Order: sequence, then C-alpha cells, then structure tokens
Amino acid sequence: MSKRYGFVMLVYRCIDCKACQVACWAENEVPLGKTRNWITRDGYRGTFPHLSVDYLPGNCMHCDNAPCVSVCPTGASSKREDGIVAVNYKKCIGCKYCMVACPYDARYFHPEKEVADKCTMCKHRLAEGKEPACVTTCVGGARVFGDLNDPHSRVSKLLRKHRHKVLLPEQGTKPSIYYIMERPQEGGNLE
Amino acid sequence: MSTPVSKLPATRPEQELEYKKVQKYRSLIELSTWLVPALLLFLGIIAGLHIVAAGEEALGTSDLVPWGLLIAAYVLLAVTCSGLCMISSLGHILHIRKMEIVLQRAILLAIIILIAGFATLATELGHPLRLIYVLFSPNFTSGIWWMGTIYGIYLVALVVELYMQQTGKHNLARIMYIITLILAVAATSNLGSVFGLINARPFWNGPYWSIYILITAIMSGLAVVTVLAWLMQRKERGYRGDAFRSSLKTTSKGLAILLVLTGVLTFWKITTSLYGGIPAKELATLALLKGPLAVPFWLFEIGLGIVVPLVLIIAGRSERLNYNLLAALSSLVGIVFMRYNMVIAGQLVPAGNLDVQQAFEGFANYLPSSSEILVVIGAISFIILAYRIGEYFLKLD
Ligand code: SF4
Ligand code: SF4
Repeated sequence: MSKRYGFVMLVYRCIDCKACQVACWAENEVPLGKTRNWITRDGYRGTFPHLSVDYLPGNCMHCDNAPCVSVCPTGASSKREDGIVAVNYKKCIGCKYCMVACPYDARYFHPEKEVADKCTMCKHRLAEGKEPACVTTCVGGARVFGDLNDPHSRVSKLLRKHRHKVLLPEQGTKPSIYYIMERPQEGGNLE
Repeated sequence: MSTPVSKLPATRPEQELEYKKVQKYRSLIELSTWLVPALLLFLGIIAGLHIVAAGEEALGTSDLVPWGLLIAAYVLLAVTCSGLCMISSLGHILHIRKMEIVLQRAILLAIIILIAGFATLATELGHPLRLIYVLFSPNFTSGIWWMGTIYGIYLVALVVELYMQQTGKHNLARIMYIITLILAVAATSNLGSVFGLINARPFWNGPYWSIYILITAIMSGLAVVTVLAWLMQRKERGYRGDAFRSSLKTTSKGLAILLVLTGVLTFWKITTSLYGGIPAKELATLALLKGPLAVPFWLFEIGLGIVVPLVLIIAGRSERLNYNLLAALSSLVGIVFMRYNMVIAGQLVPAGNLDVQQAFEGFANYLPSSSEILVVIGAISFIILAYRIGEYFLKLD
C-alpha cells in the first residue's frame, strides 16, 4: 500500500509559541507577510474562573478530496501518491482559482514566483528521511507527523486510540490533518 | 418639389464663415474621438506593463481577496461578447428584420470585446504567455479550463463567421450563426459555473450565476447594440438612418424586458441569501446591502443599472431615441458594477475563519489600484478604436 502522509495534532500540547511558523518561514523561505502554517483558537473550556482555551496548529490540510486540485486549470496543483498536495510552479499560471476555492484559506500568492504557494509537508526534507520543519521544531510536541496508512506509525496508533476530528468536515474535503482534543490526566500523557 | 439650385438664396459671407466654424468644430470633435481613446489606450498599456513588471504590488488584491477588478472586467467583457453574439445569431436565425442592420456590427464588436477581455485576463495573470499552459496541460475538472477553452474556440468561430459574412458565403454563415450561438451559451454559462462550482464560497455556490450571467449577457448585448444603433442613425440618412432608428426601438424593448428579469433575479438572490442566516451567504449579501459594496450596489447596480434605464424606456415608450440611448448607457454603467459586485462580494467574507476566539468580523478589504482601473479604461478605449477601424475597412451592411 502506498504511503499517505498526514498530521495528528495533540491539541493539549500546543502552547501557541508559534515556533512552527518561524521554522517554516526559515526552512521554506516564505515571503515576508505570508505564512504556510498558523495557530487558531478554539472556544473556551470549563466554567469561570476555571477557564482554558485550546490552540489548534494548522497548515494546508492536504485534503484527499482537495478543491484546489479539482479547480486548477493546468493540473499544477495535484495530489501525489503519498498524499501530499503539491504545486508544480512551472505549470501554475497564477489564476488564483485554488486560493478562492480552498475552504481553509491555506494558500498565499508568492510575490516573486507569482504562483499560488502553500505547505508542501517539507517534501524536500521527507526525501532526506527527515520530518517537516514545523514538526521537528514543535516545542510542546503537538505536531505529530507520519504515514496514516501504516498501522504501526505513531499517527495511526494515536488515531486508533483517541477520538479525533477534522476541521470543516461539512466541506467534504477529507483533510489529512486530524485533531485530538482529549486531555490526559494532570501531568500525564496521551500515548 | 425641390428648389432648383440656381434659385437658392446665395449664402452670405457671414453664413459661410459660420458654416466653416461649425465644420472646423466638427472635425475637431471627430479628431478627439480618435485621439482621446488612443491616449487612454496608451495609458492602459503602460498600466498593464506596470502590472506585469511589478506583479502583486501593482494590484489591490490580497490573499484574502485574490480576484479583483481585472477578473471582474474579464467577466464583463466576455459576457458582453456572448450577449452580442447571441443577439446576432438569434436575429439571423429568427429573421428579425428590424435588427438586421446591426447584426454584423454586433459580431465585429463581439470579437473586439473578447480580445479586450483576454488581454485584461492575461494582464491579471502577470505572464501573458502562461495562458498557453491551459492548452498544453489541461485539467478537465476545472471550471476555468472549460471556460477558457470554450471561449478560445468561440473566438475563432466568431472570426470565421465574420469572414463568411464578409465574403458573401451566406449559407456557411448561416451554419456559423447556430454554432456560435451554441458556443456563446456554453461559454457564458460555463463562466457562471467558475463561481458556482466553488463550495467554499456559499454566496457563489450553485447554479444561480450560470443562469444569471446568461440572462444579463443578453441584457448587456442589447444595451451595446442600442448605443451603436443610436450613433449610426445620427450619421446615416434616408433608408439606412430609418433602419437604425427602428432597430434601436426594438433593442430598447428587449432591454426593458431583460432589465425586469434581472431585477427579479437579483431580488430573489438577495432574499434567499439572507433567509435562514447562513453566515457566509448572509454576510456577503450584507456587504452589498449595507457594507463596503453598498454604494456600488444600490447606486450603480440597482439605481443606474436597472431603475433609471427602465424609467427612461417606459417614459419614452421606447420611441424616444435619446431616452433609449440614455437608458442603454445607464444600464451599461450598472452592468460594470454588477460584475464587480458579483466577483468581490463572494470574497469579502474569508472562507477559512477558523479562529473561534477571534472570528473574523466585518469584511476583507479590496479597493482596485489605479493600474487596475487604467487597464480597464484602456480595454474599453481599445474596443472603441478597434471598432471604428473595423467600421472603416469592413462592409458591415
Ligand atoms: S487545505 Fe486548501 S490548499 Fe490544502 S489541499 Fe485542502 S483545499 Fe488544497
Ligand atoms: S493559481 Fe496555479 S495552482 Fe492555483 S489554480 Fe491557478 S494554476 Fe492551479
């Protein structure tokens, strides 16, 4: 079976430090003012005064049913065998249809290359056997990366063990990023 | 009985002087009708080159609002082209005698307008030659691929049709009327589907825009033909002048019907988008009703685009030529904003909006840059100039 790369976000571990954003900027030379990944916040948990908030790390969802791939007139955006939604800069005509069609606003327009750009799951690092820069750098270990088709991978084990969700499921995009909202006992661990 | 020339009163020197003055004045106006569009076209080309060179910086668009005025202008021009073609083809196929005199002219205009549309789109893409990739690396699930390809074929078909008409091959031209009519309907509804196929933008999603764009295409075609017929009837005397006047009245009647239809469609689009309060749909509609697009919507799209032309046509019972001209011009201004509102309103509410704590409130910003505006003005000037040159060299009756 071919690989299907994806992320599992252990939400309780994210402290909103944005190190993943910084690592991505540096690794991928993301132009100033643009970003390939982000941290958003979920609603409050608990009752006053014991309130807390969850931080949700995100980036392109590498959707299995990606609208950006369907709408791209030249096939510059495509879903690879290994699950990565990639952009072929040579074929991209800069029509921005993918940007309009992405329900997660995951893309930005690269001002120098003049193409619609986004997270590549650091495919250049994967080719060298490394994990994406945001995963390697994640301070709290909230970003877990791996092959969703491999039953022994950490991501698969986490998904088997814990309830999880995807963002905007009503869009039917079948994202490859899963969020585990569960929290362990004080001082404990989910694995 | 006409007065013999010898018995006409001799023109007095003052009268002659007056006449010369008027002539001089006329030729100045004539000259400026060439010079002004030429100058604006030149400015448009400079602005276009600036956009190609400076890229995103020269545009008012952003990652939140990726499509701006130039995309709206492409929609405006491509759709007007289809409208003109549909009128011409239907006029020929259904033998609408009263409109015969404008039908060939409508095809010439359609070709020129579509070329201007493609030029605008190529400018927006930044690299004009990139358009070629659409041909060599097709993705058949893409709305833009179908739209671009059909419009490309359609442009060729229009040129063939005009050539057949020019060379007197009427039987072949008759086949082309049917072919271009089918292509016009396919291309236009496809253009609507470019928006309708996007699930992430509830304001656009669905079959509405395909139908709306088809109906408003005919409306914009009729408005252009009305203006054209008015200009022609001023120049032409006798039978030809009458023919233009008569076609002008017919197209104005058609325009009035389509204005009502568009008004009804708009009413229901607004009502269904507000009903039930589905957030992104409702917000995009509120952007039109009382948000950043309120002036373009109420004053231009509804006021100048629908109400004023309808009042003018009804007040003049479609018989008063100047009323009809004003109605057509007013609706054309409205149509420019109609396309703008359609393209921008769908994007003013960000699709993602994933942060629950700080959900994006209000609307994303978009204001066209001066370069974008100049490119559109240049495109319109190109249409005027190219049409006048065509009118000069081609036999269009
Ligand atoms: S998140 Fe957006 S850009 Fe990424 S694969 Fe899905 S639709 Fe495409
Ligand atoms: S901007 Fe590029 S990647 Fe996006 S749809 Fe257009 S051609 Fe495809």
